[in-house]
Amino acid sequence: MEVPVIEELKQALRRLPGVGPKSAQRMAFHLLGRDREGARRIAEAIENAVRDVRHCTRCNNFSDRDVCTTCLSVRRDPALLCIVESPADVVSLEQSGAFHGRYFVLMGRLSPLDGIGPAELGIERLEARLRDGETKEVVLATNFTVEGEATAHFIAEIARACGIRATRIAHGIPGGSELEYIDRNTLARALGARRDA
Amino acid sequence: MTRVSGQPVFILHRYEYGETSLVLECLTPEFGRVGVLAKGVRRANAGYRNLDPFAPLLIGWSGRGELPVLTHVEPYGIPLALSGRALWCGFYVNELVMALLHRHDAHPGIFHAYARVLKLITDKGRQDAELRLFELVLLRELGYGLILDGEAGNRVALEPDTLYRYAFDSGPCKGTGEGVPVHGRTLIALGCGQIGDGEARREARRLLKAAIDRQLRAPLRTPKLFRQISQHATLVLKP
Ligand SMILES: [Zn+2]
Repeated sequence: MEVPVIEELKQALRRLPGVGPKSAQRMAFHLLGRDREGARRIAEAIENAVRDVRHCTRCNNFSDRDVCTTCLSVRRDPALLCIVESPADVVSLEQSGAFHGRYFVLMGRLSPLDGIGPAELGIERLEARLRDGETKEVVLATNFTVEGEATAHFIAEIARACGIRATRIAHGIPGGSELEYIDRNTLARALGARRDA
Repeated sequence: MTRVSGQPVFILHRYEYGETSLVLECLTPEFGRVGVLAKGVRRANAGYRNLDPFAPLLIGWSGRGELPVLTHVEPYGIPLALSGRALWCGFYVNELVMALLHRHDAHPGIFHAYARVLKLITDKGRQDAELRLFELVLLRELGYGLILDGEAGNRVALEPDTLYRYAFDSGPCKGTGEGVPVHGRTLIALGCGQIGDGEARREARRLLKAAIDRQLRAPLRTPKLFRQISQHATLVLKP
C-alpha cells in the first residue's frame, strides 16, 4: 500500500544525482525507520542552505554573505585572478596550497554544441570584474577538455583586450608516472608545453 | 549481438549518462555515426578518460540496438591540437555532421573529408575555404550535391561572368525567378573543389548555407555563438 507522504519523500530524494528509485526507497525507509533525528537535521540543513546560500558578488562562488571570506581576505593577492569552472575546482586548488590569489567561478563552461555561449554563461559579470583595475593577471584553470580550452581561449582574449596578462595552468605528465604508460595525447601536450630545465 | 573492434573514430559530441557514464557520438568510416555508451568513464579511477572530440581514437563496442557499450578505447594516430578559432571551426563541423548525418548511415567519404578538414583548419588562412569545401563534400555524399557542371536541364556550360540563380530542385538557371544569385565563376570554381576570393567566396558561402539550411530540422547553434563571441570581442576592444 502506498503512503502518499512517503512516495513524495522518495520522489524528492530522487532529485539527488545518482539516486534511482531503489536507493530513494532505501534512504526513505532508513530515515523514517531508524534515524528520525538525522532526517530532521538533513531537512533543517537543506532549508538553511537554500535560504542563506547565494553567489558572491565578487567571485560568483557559493557564499552565505554578499562577499565571501576568500574575497575579503587581505592575505590574498588581489592582482591574481584564477578562473575555474566550478566550486569544486576552488576546493581542489585551495587544497593544493599553491595559489594565493583570488578566484572567479564560471559555474559552467562554453559548450557550443549544447548551446552554451558567453551570454548563457553570464560572462559579463567576469568582464565587469576584469575592468575594476585590480586584476593584473588571470590564471586560466578551466578543465583540459575541448570546452574548457575554448572557454580559456575566449577569456584570454577578453583579458588581453582589457590589458591584463592571461596565463593557462600547465598540463602534462602526472607526478609519479612513467612515460611508457602515458597516452600519446598527454605526451604530445607535455612536449608542446616543455620549458627550460 | 554485434561485436566491433579496432574501429577508427572521431568523437563528435558526448553527453553525461547517469552518474558515471558518457554517451559518445562517434563518426566511423564503416558504420557512419554511432552512439556508444562508455560505462563508468567519469569515475575518478576509470582507465583511459580522454574522450574528447577531435582526438583520433581506436575503439571497440559490443551489443545490439541503438546504444552498444564501449569495450575498448585507445588513442590512434597523431593527436590534433586545435586551439583558438580552429577549435570553434571544429565545433561547427561537429554540429554540422551531427545534424545532417543520421546514425548508422555509412559514408566512408564523410569520415575521410572530416579527418582532412580537422587537419586543414589548423591553418588560419585556409579555415573558411576548408569549411566551405567540407560542406560541399558533405552535401554531395549525403545525396544533396550541387549541380556545378552546367545549366539546369540542358547542362550548357556555365559562363564565368553570368549571374545565375541557383534553384535547389533543378540547378543554375538564367533569367529571373526563385533561387540564390550566384556567378558562373563561383560555381565553376566549386565544381573544381576550389573556393575563390572576395565575392566568389561570399557567394559560395551563401549558396552552401542555403543548401544546408534546407536539410536542417532546427537551426545550428554554433554559428550563432560565433557571432556572439566575435561581437563580444569587438565590444571589449572598444574603450
Ligand atoms: Zn567571493
